[in-house]
Amino acid sequence: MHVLGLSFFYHDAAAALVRDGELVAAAEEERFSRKKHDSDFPAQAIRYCLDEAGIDIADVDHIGFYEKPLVKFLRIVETCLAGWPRTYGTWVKSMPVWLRSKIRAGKIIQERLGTDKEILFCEHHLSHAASAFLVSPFDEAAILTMDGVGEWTTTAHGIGRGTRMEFAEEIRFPHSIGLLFSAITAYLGFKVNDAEWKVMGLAPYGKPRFLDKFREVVDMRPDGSFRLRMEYFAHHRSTRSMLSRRWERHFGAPRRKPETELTEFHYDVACSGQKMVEELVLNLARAMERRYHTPNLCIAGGVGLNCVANWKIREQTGFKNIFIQPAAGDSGGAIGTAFHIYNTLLGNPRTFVMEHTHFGPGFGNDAIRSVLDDRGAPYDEVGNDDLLERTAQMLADGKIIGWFQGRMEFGPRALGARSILADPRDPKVKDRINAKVKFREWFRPFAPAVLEERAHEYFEMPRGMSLPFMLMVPRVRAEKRALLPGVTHEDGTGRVQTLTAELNGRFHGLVETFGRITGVPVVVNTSFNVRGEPIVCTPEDAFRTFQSTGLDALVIGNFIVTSKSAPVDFEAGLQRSVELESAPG
Amino acid sequence: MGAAHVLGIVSTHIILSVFFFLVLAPFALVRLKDPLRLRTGIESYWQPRKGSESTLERFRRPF
Repeated sequence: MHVLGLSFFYHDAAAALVRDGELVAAAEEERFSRKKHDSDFPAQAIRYCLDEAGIDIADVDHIGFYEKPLVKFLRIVETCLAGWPRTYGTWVKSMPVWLRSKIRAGKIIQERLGTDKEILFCEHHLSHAASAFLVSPFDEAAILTMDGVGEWTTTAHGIGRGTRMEFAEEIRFPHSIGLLFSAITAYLGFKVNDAEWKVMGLAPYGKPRFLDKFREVVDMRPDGSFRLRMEYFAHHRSTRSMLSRRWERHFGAPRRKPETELTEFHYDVACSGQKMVEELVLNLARAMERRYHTPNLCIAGGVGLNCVANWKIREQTGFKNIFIQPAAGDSGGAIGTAFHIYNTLLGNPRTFVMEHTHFGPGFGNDAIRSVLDDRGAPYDEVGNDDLLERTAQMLADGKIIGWFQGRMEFGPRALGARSILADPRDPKVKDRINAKVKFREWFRPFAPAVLEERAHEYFEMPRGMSLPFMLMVPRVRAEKRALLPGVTHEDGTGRVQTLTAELNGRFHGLVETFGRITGVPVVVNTSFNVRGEPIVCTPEDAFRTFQSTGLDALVIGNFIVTSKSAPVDFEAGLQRSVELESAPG
Repeated sequence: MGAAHVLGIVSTHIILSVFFFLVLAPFALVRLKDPLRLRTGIESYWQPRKGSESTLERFRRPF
């Protein structure tokens, strides 16, 4: 039996295909369309999923959409009523696109796929919840979903047992942790629904001197619930702005203009806002701990990508086993919808645990060779052992490597299939990658990938703990920080990815080899893309990125490419990234 | 083609504006409930979830 799950029309459109209870393929549309956070109908992602499974749309038994379009539409109408007449701008902006297409999501799926199969509509937060619980290793777990907004729900908690999930309570729009974080993002002059990472990255440079100010903006209750004081916000009456003039007066400065200088004030706002979000998330987790009495917790929804908050739950509550859907944002809703239909609606037993994210396209050596030959690129073709040895030696020599191996990751993180790798012992590595390869801001941190069996030697985490998805941020052991300047963030933490031979194959072998050469089984792992672009998908994307950035080598399948056809124009690269990022999306 | 497109946008705006100021107005003005929970001063901001059981019948509806 095949179930196709789809999410689109908000951000991060995606498709996921489940066959007999196993995830066969999942991909975000942006990787194919090369438009970051592409929200359009995921035609290419669907095509890929069907091809990967070797089936046609006629072979799909059920098609699910990740939310209820009519409920969302009515929420927008009700919001316009509640804020009338100030919501006029929202009304004339959102109605045409809703009436033309969004409200007809089901019909559009049928038309675009050329099928008359019925479309099943899962609620947005149920899609999130299912994307975590139904693919988790737990029979029973508390479930927490937190995001910007779906239909009405922004936060919900419940309990999952077997194939069933029961939700008791929820918090509704406009009161939302995701939208609070987006307001902070907008205030700091970054792009909403894209650059929330930057707030998290900037936070450790600041002091929480505005935390009390944030506590006045949010009303938090001991039972975990909260409410935003809407006089500080604008997202309930505007599609253009997240925050009100009162917010600006409250914090004492107007919002920062994009690409202008970041000052201590901005670091401190980022730090305080991040702390506020951590307080809200911890408050929720503690309330759930009291209510559900289980050590198991599943998290999904975009706020689940706040890895600092996640680690605080692990450290400061009784939830010791935490599973977070690695694609916690809307794209993961495609997976959730498909499993919800297969397990919960159709009553099939759960047989699948999501242990990795390699559910995207993979390319064999023949396909890669033909791309390299087409472009006249000189390369060395080598066996596995040589590949690991030479790549590890290049890393140890300070080279920055584009690493393209196996099937692409699903979700926002590069986890060793489409990664840029470097030596974490080099104190300059962060600046070099940010400036010369990814064209990013100086403060963006890089994550460490480490052998699982040795992670506890370098990070403050229990021996044997598995953190495969970079969703937690433990502290780097104090005595190791000087050894790992490339992956130790300003506050002494690192967003760890642990590797095992079983799940990470060649990438594990590389880090092991690097460890043998240098004594440090840790490498810098960051996504293979430049700022403003989606992560690379195909060998063509990888080769183009190699040519146009300061990458020293491209290690792709069994091929090593080290020379470029022309010198890199760094100014043009930076300019392009800034333009890509400031484009409306 | 260009002119038709512009006319289309203009007429959409006019229709939506008329709807917003004439049809929505009475509902907006007599609105008694508080859908966005803008009022403060309650013990808990949790709201019960209505009918969240998952059935095929519910999933067939886009609402």
